[in-house]
Amino acid sequence: MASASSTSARSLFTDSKMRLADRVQVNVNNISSLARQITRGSKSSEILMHSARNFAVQEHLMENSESNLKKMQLLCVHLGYQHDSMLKSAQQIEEVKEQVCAMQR
Amino acid sequence: MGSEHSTHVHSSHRTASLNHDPKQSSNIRRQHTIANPGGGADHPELYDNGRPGSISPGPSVCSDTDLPYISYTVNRPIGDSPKLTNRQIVKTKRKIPTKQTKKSAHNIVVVKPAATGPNLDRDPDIMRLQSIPMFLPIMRATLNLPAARDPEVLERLDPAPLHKLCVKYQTHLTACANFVATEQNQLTQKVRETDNEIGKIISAATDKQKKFAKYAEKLAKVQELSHQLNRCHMLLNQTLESMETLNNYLDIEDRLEPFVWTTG
Repeated sequence: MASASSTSARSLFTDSKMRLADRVQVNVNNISSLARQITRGSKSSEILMHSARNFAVQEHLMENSESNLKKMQLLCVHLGYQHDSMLKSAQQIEEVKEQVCAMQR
Repeated sequence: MGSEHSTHVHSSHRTASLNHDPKQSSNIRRQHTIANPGGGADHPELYDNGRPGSISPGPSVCSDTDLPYISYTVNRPIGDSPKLTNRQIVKTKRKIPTKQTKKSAHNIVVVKPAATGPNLDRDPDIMRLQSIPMFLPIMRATLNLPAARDPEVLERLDPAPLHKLCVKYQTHLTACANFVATEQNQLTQKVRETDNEIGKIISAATDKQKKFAKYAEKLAKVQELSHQLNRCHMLLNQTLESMETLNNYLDIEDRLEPFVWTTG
């Protein structure tokens, strides 16, 4: 092959490759814009983002609840102690009554 | 150049295997199932015994420096003369004419006709290739002719079903997102309610605890009371005893009456 024809053939080939690449790029861009339209048009990401943000606010409330529950546990223990002491004192009243009777004799 | 190097290898393969052609009847039979039902045996001549069963060009034919298929067709002629292949109808669609290079001796290749028959096992890959529907190339025009029929593809494509499909998918996504969002909102509500309830319960519990503390404190006075009563009793007894002894220390005349504790 003469070198002149080979260079022209080379340029033709590069030209065809470029054009093919352009067409393919156009097609790919179209498909991508279609996909973007679908995702944007459905607003699914926005809705989900809103709900996720709202849920994240509840985090503070949940911490509050957890600390309150722990306090309540301690309160329960205290209440138990008080109940025991009150029971003991109530029983002692009976003894005191007997003592008073004994003193009166 | 790389392509020419590889075709040189292929041509050496070919000359070695050309002599074994009649023995490889199974290969030839396989090749003939490539033939399109509509278009005759275009391609069997393109195969090389170096890679039986494949009709695609060699690995490095499409190099950047060559137009495709030039060296593939130039350096690999079909046979010595076109007369030998008149058994099958040759439809060459190549624009570049094939050169006839003279090999060592006159190797005459006689090819058997296409094997037909219902008991022919067809290559599954080739059947799949044949079942591919006809599609248009991406670039309709050649290099020199401008593309006058470019929008033809878009005219043939009916956008309505595709549009409907996309709209359906879009609405489906929206519906799913809304569903998830409503569930999340319900969860949020429940969390808030639970937090409120816990807050109320804990305030009630703290009130109760304070009250109980007061009651317990008051009731604990009972114990103090009993202590004091005990002491009182003891003191009283002591007083009585000391009174008795004091009384006994006195003379009999001055003794008082024995002390009797009477409740008023």
